[in-house]
Amino acid sequence: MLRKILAVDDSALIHQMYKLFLSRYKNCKLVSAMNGLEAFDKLGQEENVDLILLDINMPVMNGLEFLQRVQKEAAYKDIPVIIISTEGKEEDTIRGLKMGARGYVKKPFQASELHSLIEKITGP
Amino acid sequence: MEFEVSAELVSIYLEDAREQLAVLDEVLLRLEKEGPRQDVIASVLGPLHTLKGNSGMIGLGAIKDYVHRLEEVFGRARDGALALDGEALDRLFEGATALRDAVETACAPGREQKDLAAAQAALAALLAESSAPAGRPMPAAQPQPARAGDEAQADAAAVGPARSSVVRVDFAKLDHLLNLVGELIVHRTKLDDLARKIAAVLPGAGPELLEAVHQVESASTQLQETIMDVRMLPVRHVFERFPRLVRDLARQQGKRVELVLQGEETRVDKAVIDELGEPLVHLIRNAVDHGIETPALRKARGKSPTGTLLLSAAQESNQVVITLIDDGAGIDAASVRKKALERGLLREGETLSDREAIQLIFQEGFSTASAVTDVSGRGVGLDVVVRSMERLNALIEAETIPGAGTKFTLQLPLTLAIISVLMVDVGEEVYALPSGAVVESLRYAKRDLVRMNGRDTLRVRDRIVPFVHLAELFGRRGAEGDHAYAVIVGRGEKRLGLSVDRLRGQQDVVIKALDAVVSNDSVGIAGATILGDGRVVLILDVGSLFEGRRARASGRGRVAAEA
Repeated sequence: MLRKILAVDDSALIHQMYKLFLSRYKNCKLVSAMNGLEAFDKLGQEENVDLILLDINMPVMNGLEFLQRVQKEAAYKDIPVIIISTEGKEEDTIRGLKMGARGYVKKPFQASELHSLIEKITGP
Repeated sequence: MEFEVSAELVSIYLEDAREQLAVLDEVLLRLEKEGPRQDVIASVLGPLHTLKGNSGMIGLGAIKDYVHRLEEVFGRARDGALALDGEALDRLFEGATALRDAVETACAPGREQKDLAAAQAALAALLAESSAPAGRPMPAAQPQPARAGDEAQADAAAVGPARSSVVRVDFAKLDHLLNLVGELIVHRTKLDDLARKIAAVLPGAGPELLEAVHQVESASTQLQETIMDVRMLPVRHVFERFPRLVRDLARQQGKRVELVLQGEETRVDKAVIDELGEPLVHLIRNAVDHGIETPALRKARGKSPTGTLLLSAAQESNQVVITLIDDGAGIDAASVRKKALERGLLREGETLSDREAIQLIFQEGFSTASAVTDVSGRGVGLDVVVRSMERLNALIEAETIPGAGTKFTLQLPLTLAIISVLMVDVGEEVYALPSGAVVESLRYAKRDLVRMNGRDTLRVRDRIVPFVHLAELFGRRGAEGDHAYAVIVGRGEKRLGLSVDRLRGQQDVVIKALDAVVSNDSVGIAGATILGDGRVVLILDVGSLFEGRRARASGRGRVAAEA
């Protein structure tokens, strides 16, 4: 199946890693955004996003603010969100999960962790 | 690690880490200068958090752990539970240096991970001291908007502009693009010639063909300009490390120096940016070391105890002018003359104006340091700077007012990829001379050459100029006849005459990566370009002609190849 994944992170390194990690999926389109605001714009431009990988700590609009806005939009609120958290920000992860995120991965994560979570949510 | 951390990932990581570390330095400097401010402290948390995440992702555990501690320190400081006073700041400055060192080492070819245990322990000690309940409240300097998360507010602070939708491109690809455009322009000239010939024979299709060629011309010119623009970066990328450098140098020497930066957004080709750091570091070290006086001496001289260094950049037509001004002791022309005499750089009885004498500090073997300090007086003089400037095709000049200060002016080309050259014929070959080095060109009679000390010289008005026959130098046969042309090139006050058979005129050329064109030990060659008829033209390295040495084909050739 075709997967369209929106990756939101302010680190170019992380985006490069997503590219690397997701290259195993043949039918996968990766859309990148550097912050929540850009991600929100991308949601408007791209149809049928299957999954959002969301960093919390970002400039302009952070992950939690983004999540809040997504939850308010009927068109987007059912898109599953995976929170990418970092050591020391556990409380933010919990807030995100309470706000409706479907799961989380902690940096530094391995490709296999990401794969299993993606497959659990979007199917193999 | 389940995946291989590729060189590409490491370079992305390093580039980001340098930015994050620059924010750390900037925040520390501001805290030292302005005292503890909540908004300033908070502004470093976002970059540190990203650095921590990134370090973990590429398997740099020690760095990740250290940054985590740093985050804790700044977090507590922001909450008022830890005072970032002189002592604590000193430790943080040291920590920032150790961290930078560890990051650079980890990203260098050996990928060696440094042990940060000592630095960790220093932070742990800071944190331990802070476990006492909240200290004095801190001024919250700016009214803060209510935001959902504190990160948003942290990042919104003045430190870094928000990143927009930017695409990262390997610079080598841009270089390749520029080379391709260079070729396109070369072929365009050929196409233009052909089109004119064809138009003359085929009156029907002629005008249309010429029109089409004209459009290709205009599009390729725009393409070239656009690529040049994409390669430009603000000089901020070089300047941003200097506040920290100046602070450390001033501290080492018990001096007080304020660095003022201007025109940081002035844009220059990245290849120039990459070459600019080293000479500027040298000039700044020199200014703090020899220029700015100690606070006591400054007071005695009726100056403010804190010296000022002004580093500014501005674009002036097709070059960038960078000036470094200090309000220090200035350079004493008399002692420069004396030293130059001692070092044999000046002959007894030779007279120089003060302004001319000052330029002697750029000569090889001249060092103004009267005592060897561990800063700039390591036997390395400003000639190192001059050599960098030559690589950059740039000019450097010094002006000084004894007792009041010194000003260094650097005139740099906007780009190294395209230079203006004077094309000359030597026998059957065409050579190019960088226009910046050409002082004048003139026709001379071969019988006017005078042999002195085993080499030819030419009298040009009141000067005797040493002469080099390019045909001989490159093992070519020069044209016969009584007259030829001389191109007089300059380097500082020095002049050198080059004999050529014919002058072809000036034009802008795209420098090709040299390694592909000629071998590395070519005499006096700085690069190459290609003419419309496909001929390779070598660009002469004027600096090495002066030194008369077999120059490695370094300089611009290397820059063009690496960039």
